[in-house]
Amino acid sequence: MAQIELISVGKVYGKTRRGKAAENTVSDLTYVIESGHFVSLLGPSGCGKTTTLNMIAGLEDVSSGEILIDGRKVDDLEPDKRDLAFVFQDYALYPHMSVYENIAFGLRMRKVPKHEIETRVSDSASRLDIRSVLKSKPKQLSGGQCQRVALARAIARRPAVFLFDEPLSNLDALLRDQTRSELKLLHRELGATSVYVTHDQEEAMTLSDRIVVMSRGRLEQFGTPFEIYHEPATEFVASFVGKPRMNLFTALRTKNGRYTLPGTTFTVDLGEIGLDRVRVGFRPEECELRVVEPGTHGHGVVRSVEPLGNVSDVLITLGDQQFMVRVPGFGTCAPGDRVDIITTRARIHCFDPTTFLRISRGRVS
Amino acid sequence: MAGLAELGRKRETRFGLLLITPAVLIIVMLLGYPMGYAIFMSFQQWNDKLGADHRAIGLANYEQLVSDPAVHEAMGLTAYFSVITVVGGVALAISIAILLNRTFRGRTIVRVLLLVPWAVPPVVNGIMWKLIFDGSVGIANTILKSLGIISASVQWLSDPAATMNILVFAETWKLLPFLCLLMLAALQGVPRSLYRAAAIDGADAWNTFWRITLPNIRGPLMFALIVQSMWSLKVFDTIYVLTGGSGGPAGGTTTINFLAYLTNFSNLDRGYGSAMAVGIMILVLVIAVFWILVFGGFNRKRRAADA
Repeated sequence: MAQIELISVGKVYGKTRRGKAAENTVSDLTYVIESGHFVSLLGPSGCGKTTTLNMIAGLEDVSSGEILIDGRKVDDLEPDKRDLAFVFQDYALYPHMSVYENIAFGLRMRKVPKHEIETRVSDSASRLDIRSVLKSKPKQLSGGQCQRVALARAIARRPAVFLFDEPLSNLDALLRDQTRSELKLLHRELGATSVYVTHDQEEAMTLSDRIVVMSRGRLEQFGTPFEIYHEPATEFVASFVGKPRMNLFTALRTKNGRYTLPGTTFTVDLGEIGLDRVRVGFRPEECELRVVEPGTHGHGVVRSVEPLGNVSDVLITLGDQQFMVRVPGFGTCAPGDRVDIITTRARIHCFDPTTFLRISRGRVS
Repeated sequence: MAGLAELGRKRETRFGLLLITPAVLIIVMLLGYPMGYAIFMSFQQWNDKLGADHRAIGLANYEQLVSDPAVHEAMGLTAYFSVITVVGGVALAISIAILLNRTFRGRTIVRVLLLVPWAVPPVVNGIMWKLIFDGSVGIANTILKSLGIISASVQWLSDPAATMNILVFAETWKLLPFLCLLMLAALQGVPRSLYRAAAIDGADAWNTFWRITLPNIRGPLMFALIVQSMWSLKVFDTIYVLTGGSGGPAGGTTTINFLAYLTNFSNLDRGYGSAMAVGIMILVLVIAVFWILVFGGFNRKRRAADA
């Protein structure tokens, strides 16, 4: 159990990697990962989430700011002195050692007594159901088994902190879902603080107590999955989290509190927010569609319908914008239909068009 | 259809055989024939100093080989030379490769510079060291004298032991680039994440080297040891140039391969010299098998320990 505190942590790479340096740099990360929490670092590739994880692990130096684990500054501590375990994306199993040796290696290096090593290895192996392959070499194992060995190796150490670097990205889809559920159970059993790097928002949403959304080395938002989804702090978070993507467009003020999407009849009532232009967002699953009476124009035209079984994604052309609405079942519209988009049920997300920050406003129906 | 496929495969095999025939012929002509002839000669009483007639004497040459004090001495020198160049050379190569595998400013330049000795032809290498350690005009004496380490010029290449050590030095200097390059390539084949995992697991530098690095470069390491053992056993050109073709002073650098040369081409004792050459070949084979067993055995022992 440990609390991890990041205080304006930054990372600058040497000048040797021209051009690339700016992208990978992490700057000014400040947040607290509470003891026992499962926290995901979510963002597109190259956003600095793995760098952040490596800095917590001590595999990379911190350029500025500091990292505290349980209130203790760890900047100068070697990775093995930080009481943490790391599950690598490519598992990083030692190819020349048996599974048993792989799990025991960290304990051996820490001079754990032999009988204790044996109990811990067999305990973590049975927890992950890999007792039968203890004598095999990693080469003989399937991807899923390797993943389990990597997890067992982390568990056997009984660390205060688990760090995961996209551990599921090398598994096929079915196995990924299964392992994801197991990870969640495992975390509930062990209760250790976990930091989990992923670019998959589904993983982040399902596993986490808190999510850290990052983009271009910056913290976009730190919050619960609920907050991330329903109250995205920036336009980036709004567009990155949620599938299908949130519909985002620039609306212009027409009269007091009323904004319209240029070139269409689609309007939205935002109340008095003091801006002439505003970025407005709607989640596709919170909108509804109504096919208009023949002869009327409606908001837009249905471009395509993508049925998924339980729901269908309907793509609508709205002026020069695309608008996605997720309707239940197979839907009732066909391409070419003129439709109205009904947003009465939908949460309206507003963002400042220059700062991209969320505009908080009173409840507007 | 199956028959047709088989016909196609057969035709392909025949074509493949046709393609390798020229290479095989050349190898047989250039390697197989002289080798076979050497083996044939080694069973003959065949000394060109004693006249042109020779006769089969069975294993007599080999019996002489086992009891000849000159051979024993040469074997001793060979062992000294080989152990230092093989074990020392490979260990040094690994150390240098580990340094070169780190990221530092100017790494590429250092890597290129490393290759320079390799680009020097073996004969030039020998001449170079001969000039450096020359007793009257050599730079080695000049430097050591100006540093105050020695007061008078040392005749390096007149002392058997010193000459042997200079030979070891010159050979090591020549062979290091290749071994370093081999080891560097091997080190680069070890996934970086293993080192990261080892760091998390709390392995110190020593444990990381012995338990992570070394086992993961075992194959290339074995190759380096075998190849270098072979080269060390059959070292010739540097001795020839360094000692003016004498293997001296006082036989101080006459390794077994050089002794075979002297017997064959100075004494013109073709039969005995060939027996020596065949003996060296067998020795090389035995040592190669030894290394394979060492590394294979290491592997087996591990497996047994795991079980």
